[in-house]
Amino acid sequence: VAQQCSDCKRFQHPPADRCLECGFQSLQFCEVSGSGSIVSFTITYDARTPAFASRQPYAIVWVELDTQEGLVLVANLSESPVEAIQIGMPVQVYFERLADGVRLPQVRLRP
Amino acid sequence: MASTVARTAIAGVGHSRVHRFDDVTLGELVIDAVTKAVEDAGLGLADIDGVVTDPKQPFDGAGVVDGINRVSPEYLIRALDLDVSWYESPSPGSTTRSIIAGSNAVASGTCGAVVAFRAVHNPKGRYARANPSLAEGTKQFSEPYGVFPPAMFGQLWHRYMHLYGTTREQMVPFVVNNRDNALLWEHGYWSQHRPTRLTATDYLEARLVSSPLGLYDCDIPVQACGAFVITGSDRAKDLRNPPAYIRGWAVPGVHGGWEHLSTLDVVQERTQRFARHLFENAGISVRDVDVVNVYDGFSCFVPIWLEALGFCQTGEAFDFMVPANIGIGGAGPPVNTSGGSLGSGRMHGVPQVMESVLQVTGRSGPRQVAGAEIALCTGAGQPGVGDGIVFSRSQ
Repeated sequence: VAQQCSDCKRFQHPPADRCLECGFQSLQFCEVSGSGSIVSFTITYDARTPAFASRQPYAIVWVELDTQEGLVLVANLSESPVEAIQIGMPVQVYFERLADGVRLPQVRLRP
Repeated sequence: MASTVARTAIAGVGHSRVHRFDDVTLGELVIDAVTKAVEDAGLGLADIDGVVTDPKQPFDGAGVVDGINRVSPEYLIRALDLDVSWYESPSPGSTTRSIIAGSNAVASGTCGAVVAFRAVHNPKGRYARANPSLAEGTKQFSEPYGVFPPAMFGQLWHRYMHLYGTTREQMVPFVVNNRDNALLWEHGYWSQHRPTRLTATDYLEARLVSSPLGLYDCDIPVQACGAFVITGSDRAKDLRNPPAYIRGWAVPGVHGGWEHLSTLDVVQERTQRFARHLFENAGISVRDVDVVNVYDGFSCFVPIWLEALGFCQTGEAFDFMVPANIGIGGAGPPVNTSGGSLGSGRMHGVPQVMESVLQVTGRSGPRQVAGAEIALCTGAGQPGVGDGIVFSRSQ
């Protein structure tokens, strides 16, 4: 899901207490397809915290959802070799289950 | 603001020694830099009635102790027994924001002479400002993915490369020129400890940190302090050294996006708006600028600043960033004549501001740009976050 303004219908992410486009304060979470494409990425070879050291090199991508131009989320692209990643590749959101019960939105390449 | 006469000026500057790690406290380095700045202005500690700094450090963690690895205004006031009527810790931890606040205190008549400083500590080992299991606010949408500086800036640069068809190799002329400038900067890590030129091979073959950012795209953490004395313009004229008049400044707005999720389009628009305000407030145009010192904690900030400020067209910065334009003798105007943060170490705007002051007062020695009347600096903070100040030789 992503947050959508009830008035101007614009989606925004991360969620906020008001629509950053029109200022309307009635917002709801609506289903989105989770399909999008990579607008940029970085491969981190030098993790800054121990939690990510075992995963390096790891890819962080900016994904623009097909739902709306400018609706961008951050995710990892961990199922693909980092050398293969390019801007423009189509991706699909899935949810990764973390040890502490958190479900984290992630992306994988879409065929 | 759009004042035609500058009401305040930098009357003196001081810098501590620079080390990667130092065996003295940060408090000692601050006292050293502040004492030098006051002396440079030809004033005494009894003249100082305002203190401003953001004590924030670029790392989190336990054991942060005032005077040891951070220095607040309160620490300095007690240590030097200053009789102040005002002090403040503005956020974020930039040199420019403290000078802006100090200049306002002087212009309002609250203070006669303010010390503004930026002191940075470098803890042993490696550091980061993040705890992904405790990410708060909008950071919950980035830190669990391992997004820590400079990862978000790697994404910014990749997007830039994709849109404008540029390469890492095109950064070479800038970083090589920048290191050459840095070797002439007496307050820099490289000039003091590792005085060697940077070659294209060094740069391109260094390990990647967060692609496309490699080791030499990142400033090296150091510990040191840079300090500035701000007075009214009329008082500054009668002091020991020529004043660097503070002609105008601007702080960027927060239009669109979040700091951690600032995509290139958001960063560019914020920085363009900021640039318009900066030139309006200073009452100058981009063609009036003789020296520009932009914040380059990561190299990819430089093209974004130069484009948004109007030194070149959007997407064309790498055509501009060649020695014929940006070198000390260049027509560009010259860019980062003190080597910026990449050449000095992680000092959050100190080399940009201090060098701009020295340039317009004719005190830059071997780096001096002939006839420099107006210097523009930004930092710290990346484009869209960092502030800007314009200094001038004439009031």
